[in-house]
Amino acid sequence: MTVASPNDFQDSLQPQGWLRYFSFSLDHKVIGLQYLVTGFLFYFIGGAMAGVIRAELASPISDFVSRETYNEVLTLHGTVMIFLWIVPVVNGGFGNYLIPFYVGARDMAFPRLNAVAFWMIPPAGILLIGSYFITGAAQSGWTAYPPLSLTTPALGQVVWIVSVLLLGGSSIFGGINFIATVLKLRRPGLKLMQLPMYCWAMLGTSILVVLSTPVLAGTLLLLSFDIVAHTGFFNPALGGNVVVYQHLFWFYSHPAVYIMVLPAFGLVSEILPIHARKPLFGYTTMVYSIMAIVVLGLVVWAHHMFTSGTPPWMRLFFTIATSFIAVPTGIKFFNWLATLWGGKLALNSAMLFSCAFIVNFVFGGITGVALAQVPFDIHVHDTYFVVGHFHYIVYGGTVFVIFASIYHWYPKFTGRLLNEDLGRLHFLLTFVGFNLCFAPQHWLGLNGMPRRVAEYDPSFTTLNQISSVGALLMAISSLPFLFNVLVSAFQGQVAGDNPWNALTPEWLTSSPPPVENWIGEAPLVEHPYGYGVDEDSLSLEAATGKDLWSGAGRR
Amino acid sequence: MTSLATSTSAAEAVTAEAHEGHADLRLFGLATFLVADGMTFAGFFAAYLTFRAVNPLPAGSTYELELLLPSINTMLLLVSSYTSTARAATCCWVRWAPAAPGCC
Repeated sequence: MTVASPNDFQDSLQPQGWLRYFSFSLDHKVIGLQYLVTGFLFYFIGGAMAGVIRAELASPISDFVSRETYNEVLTLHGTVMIFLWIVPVVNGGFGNYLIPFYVGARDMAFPRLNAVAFWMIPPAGILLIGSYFITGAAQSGWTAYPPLSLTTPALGQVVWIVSVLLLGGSSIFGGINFIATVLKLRRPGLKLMQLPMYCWAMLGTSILVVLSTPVLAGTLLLLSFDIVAHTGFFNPALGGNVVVYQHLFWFYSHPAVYIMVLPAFGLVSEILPIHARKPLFGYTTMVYSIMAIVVLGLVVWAHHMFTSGTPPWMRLFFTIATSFIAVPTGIKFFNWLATLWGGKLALNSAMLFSCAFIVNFVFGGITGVALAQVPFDIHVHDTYFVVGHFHYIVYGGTVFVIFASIYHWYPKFTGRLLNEDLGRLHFLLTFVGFNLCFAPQHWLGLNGMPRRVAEYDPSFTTLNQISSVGALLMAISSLPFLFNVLVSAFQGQVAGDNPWNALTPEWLTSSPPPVENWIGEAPLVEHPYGYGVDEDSLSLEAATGKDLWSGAGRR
Repeated sequence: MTSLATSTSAAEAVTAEAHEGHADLRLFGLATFLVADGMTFAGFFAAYLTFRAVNPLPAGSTYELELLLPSINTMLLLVSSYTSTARAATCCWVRWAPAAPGCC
C-alpha cells in the first residue's frame, strides 16, 4: 500500500484552484466548502420562494400567483430550506470542515463516502426545483401528508419523494461518517471529554440522523407505492391509515428539528467563548444536555399529532416528554449566558448574530413549550402561530448561527476578514427584518389565521403586511452579506493564521490550512476553552502543552 | 496542476494517509450503516403492526399465507447478494475503504 507524504498531498491530490470545488474531491475542507456554497445557493432560491409567498400574503385575496402555484412554491420552500439549506450546511458544511480538525485527524473516516454524500445533493436539488418547470412540483407541503399527497398531481409528488430520498441518503452517509470520525479517528491522547462542543453536537446529531432518517426513507417508499402502484398503505379508500404515516413521518421530522438545531448549539458554543474571552461554562453539563436532547428527541414526535385522534395516555406521555426537553435546552441557555457573564465581549458580527440567536431561540423555545400543552396546541394547531414558532427555531436559531459561523470562520476558509461595517449592517437588517416578519405571525395564529393558505380573512391584512415588509428587509439584508463575502475573498483585510487568538485546533494551523491540515503532527488540545477571565492567562502553550505556532497572525 | 486522471491514485493515497495509525474502520462503518438499515425495517414493522392492530380480522378467521410471490422475492433477494459477496471475496471493490492486501 502506498502512503503519501504531506508533499504528495500538495502536489498530486486533486485539481488545484477553483477547479477542485467542482471535482469529486476527497479533501474534507473542499467538501465542507462545497456544502456551504451549494447550501447558500439553495438558501437564496428558497428565499426567493419565501418572497413569492409573502408577496401573495400581502393582500387577503389570491392575486399574485395562482393557488396551485402557491401550493407548489410553499412545498418547495419548506423542502429546499430544510433539506437543501439548513441540514446540509450545519451538518455537512461546518461538520466536514471542522470535525477532522477537532479530533486531530487529516480527513474524515471515509473520505470517498463523504464525497458521495455531497454529490447526491446537487442532483436532488436540481430534480426538486426542476420539477416545478417540467412536471409541476408537489403541492402537498413539506410534510406530504396523505391523502392530500395522493390526490395532488402524482408526477410532481414522486419527483419530490425521489429528491428527498436522495437527500436522506446523503444525510445518512454523512451521519455514519461523523460518528466514525468522532469516535474512532481521534488523535492519540485526545479524550472524549476534551473535544470541542461542536464534536459532541455532531455526534448527537449523527445518532439522530442514523436512527430517524431511515424511517422517513421507508415511509416515503411506501407513499410512493401508494401513488405509483396504487397500494393502500396510507390511502383510506383502500383500507390504509393516514395516522400511521403521521407517526412514521414525525418520528423523523421532529428529530429533524434537532438535526438542524443541535449543530447550531455546537457552533455557537465554539464562538461565544472565543469572543467573550472566557471558558465555556459547564462543559460537562453541556455534553449531557446534548445527549439528553438526543434521547428525548426520539420520543416526542406525537406532539405534532394532538389533533389526529391520539388517545389521552399518548397525549399525556408526549406532553410530559416534550416539556422535559426544556430542561437540557434551558441548561445550555443558562450556560451560554454564564459564558458571556463578566466576559470581555467583542461585539463583532459573529458575536452579534450569536447573541441574537440566544434571544430568538429562547422565544422560539418558550412558544415550543406552550405548543407541547394539549389545550393550547389544539387551539393553535395548523395556524400561523406554528409557522412563527418554527421559524424562530430554525431561522432565529440555526440560520443566525450559520451567519455567525460564516463571520467567525471566514478567515479560516479564505485567510481574509469580512468587513465588519457591512457585517453589522447585515445583522441589523436581518434581526429587525426577521422579528418584523415572524413575530406578528404569533398574533395571526392566536387569532385563527390558518397556515398554508393563499387567501385569508381581511381582518388579518395589516399584520400580514407587516410580516411581508419584514421579509423584504430580510431579502435586502442579503445584499451587504453577499457583497461582503464576494469582495472580501479578494480585497478583505488579511486575517493572519489566528485572528481571534483562539485555542481550538482549527486555528492552530495556517489560514487557509494546508491540504494535510497541519504540517507535521496534529496538536493535542486538551483545553480548547482555556481562556481564563484574565487575558494575560491566555496561553496556547497551556492549552496544547507545547508551542505549536508563533508569530504570524497572533495578536 | 494535476490532471483529473491522476487523481484516483492520489485519492487512494489520501485515504491511506487518513487511516494511517488508526484501526480499519470499515467494520465500524458497516455496523453503523446496518443500524440505519435496521431502522428502515423497524419503521416497516411498526407500520405493519399498526395496520394489523387497527384492522383486526373477524372472529375465528385467519390470515391466508401467500407463498408464490414472497418466495420468488426471497429468492431474488438471496441471489442478488451472491454477486456482491462473490465480488468482495475476490476483490476489494468498496472504493472508499483502503485496499486490503491481496485485492486486485
